[in-house]
Amino acid sequence: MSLEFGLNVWRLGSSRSPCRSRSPPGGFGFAGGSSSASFAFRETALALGIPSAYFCVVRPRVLMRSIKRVSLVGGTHGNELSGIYLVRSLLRQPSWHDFPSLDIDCLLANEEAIQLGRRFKDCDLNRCFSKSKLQDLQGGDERYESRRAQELNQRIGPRFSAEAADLCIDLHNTTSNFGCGIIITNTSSPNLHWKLQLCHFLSRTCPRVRIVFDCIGDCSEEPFLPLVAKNDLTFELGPQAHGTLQAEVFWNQRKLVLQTLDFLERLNSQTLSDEERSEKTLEVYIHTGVVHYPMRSDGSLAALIAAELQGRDFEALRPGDPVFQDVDKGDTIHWDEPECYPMFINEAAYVSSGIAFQKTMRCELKIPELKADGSLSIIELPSLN
Amino acid sequence: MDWKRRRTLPSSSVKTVAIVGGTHGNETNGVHLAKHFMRNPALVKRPSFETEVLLSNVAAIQQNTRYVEEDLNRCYLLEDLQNDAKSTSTLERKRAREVDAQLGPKSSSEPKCDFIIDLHNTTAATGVALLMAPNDEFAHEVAHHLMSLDETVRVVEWNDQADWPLCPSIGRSGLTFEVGPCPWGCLEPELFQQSRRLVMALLDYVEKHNSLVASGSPTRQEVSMKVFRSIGVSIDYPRAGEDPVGHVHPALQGQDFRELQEGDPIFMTFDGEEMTFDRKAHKVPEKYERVYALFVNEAAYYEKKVALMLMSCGEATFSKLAS
Repeated sequence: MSLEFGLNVWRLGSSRSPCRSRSPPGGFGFAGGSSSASFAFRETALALGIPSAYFCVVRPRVLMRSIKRVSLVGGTHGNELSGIYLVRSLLRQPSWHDFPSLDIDCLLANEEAIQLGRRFKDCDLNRCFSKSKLQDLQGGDERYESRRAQELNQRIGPRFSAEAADLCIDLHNTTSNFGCGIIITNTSSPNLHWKLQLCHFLSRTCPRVRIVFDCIGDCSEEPFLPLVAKNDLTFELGPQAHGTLQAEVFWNQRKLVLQTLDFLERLNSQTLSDEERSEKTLEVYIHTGVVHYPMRSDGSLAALIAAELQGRDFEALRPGDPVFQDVDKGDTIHWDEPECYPMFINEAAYVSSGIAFQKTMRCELKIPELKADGSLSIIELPSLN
Repeated sequence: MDWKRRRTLPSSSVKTVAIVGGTHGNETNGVHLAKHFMRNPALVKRPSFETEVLLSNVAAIQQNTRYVEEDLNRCYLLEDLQNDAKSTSTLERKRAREVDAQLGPKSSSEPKCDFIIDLHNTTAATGVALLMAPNDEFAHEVAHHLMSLDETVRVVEWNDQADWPLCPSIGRSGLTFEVGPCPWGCLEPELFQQSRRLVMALLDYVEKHNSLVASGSPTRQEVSMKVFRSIGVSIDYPRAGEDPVGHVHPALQGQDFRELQEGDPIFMTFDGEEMTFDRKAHKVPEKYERVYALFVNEAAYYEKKVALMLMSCGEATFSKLAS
């Protein structure tokens, strides 16, 4: 775990305000004290005649331990080329000496799929890492990706164990107009705090950065590879046709990776600037659902993405806006659900499962200051009603 | 085989047209356009000829992959189709025999299908490129008409050689609709609609041609048109062993049909170094004063070691019935 508990002892009545009292979902056992609890304690102590001069309130404080072990993964899908070429390029000429506090393991996840130039050989590797799948897989599933998932779980994880890497960064591409996407699946606090400060930093140095939260709450059944580590980041860049390499995509993904390692190095050595640690707001998109293509009774697509929607990832889709076009009749189909912010519009890999795009809700999050002593805060997340 | 005689001549009417989708299973716009026509046969029906619509590499379509064992669009050489051992050696070879029997056969001077439209997509920015045999006059005539309707349409001639392993060569005449940029597995709305319009306009033109033939019009006219021709030179990615160590330069990305001049940047290595076009180093024959890039960053060509192909530009002349 990249947390340790410290004791915070201070005088009652001090101006130091405790962290927010919201319990993190699936949490670490962090029990943040609230200001009302310490007030009640003080009143009780006074009523018992205990001098008020020095009362100790013992409250666990969550401190961030250094990020040490980082796994950098390309080629989870064998035809998403920028991660594959970036990993190969870094393996030929590593620049790890720039990040002495980090122990970086750089690897290609799915060599067989890469050789074939396909997303996968037998089954999607990036759906093999849920808690139940990892348990099932010990039963001897012979598919290539199932066996490979076990190897990767041993190398990067094991998932849910203390030995797992501190962070896994998984490099992907999409045919949709995603821009420079940073997807966080495990959005639990307080680790979310430093990740959001990192995301804000990246959004200032790379173009069109979009932060996406894939899961709120218990993510143990989410099946994605980077969840094997204690913290996950997926760098999802597009548009890029699968099987091709686009200059801009390659260089932006490389920048995201190297800037992330630089931020972590400075976080570890406590040399982040005041501005980098300061309180901020950040726009994030929270995944809320999936939208399927209209289908025919024989299972074929009845409509395609409307030209007006193509390429408009992360722009508001409002009731009445064109969303699909009937393939045969040419009629426009209009959106009749509440406003959402679509992403993965026309992702090639999802067409065969009938998924047209995914819905998100846009919100602004307050990121508290990352204190110099390394203490982390709970991030308040909106409810998804 | 007298290929020239086998071609549809301008003075013959066209009796059957075939629209083929899914020669490559992940060229999804073409697959769905063919399926759209299969569901709506009235769109492609014309009074004076039959239109057949088929999906060729069904197994590859189901797996959303270019091919299962080998590229179907390299399986149609006559000598391969006639070689019993070779033509049953892979899934695609067997399928090629079936398609050949349905639309050809290539071995016959009277194939069943007079005109084949083979629908493809490419990740390169070709727009709508129509590819055809250099001596296929009727295909040139049809393409010329489509160019007059849509100025983004361009014509590219296949290499001048004795036979081609490509689907449209099974019939008397035909062409490949190469539409991009379109990622594998995606339905790209604007390109889908554009190719749909052009395929239907093609059928309208064939109908009009047949009317001219039926009216006994003897007048022919010579027409010339701009075409691109392969010069037999392609350029691979810079590699270290098997692995590319660079990508198409951003200045070249998406610039299909653009002239390439000495010193133009064509690649950037992963270390940020530029590599430029050098006629001598890239073995461009001197007789081609000006060359043009095509199939820049086509995904399927990474394995064929082609980052781009070089073309020359010239005029092709053909004769057609005057209206």
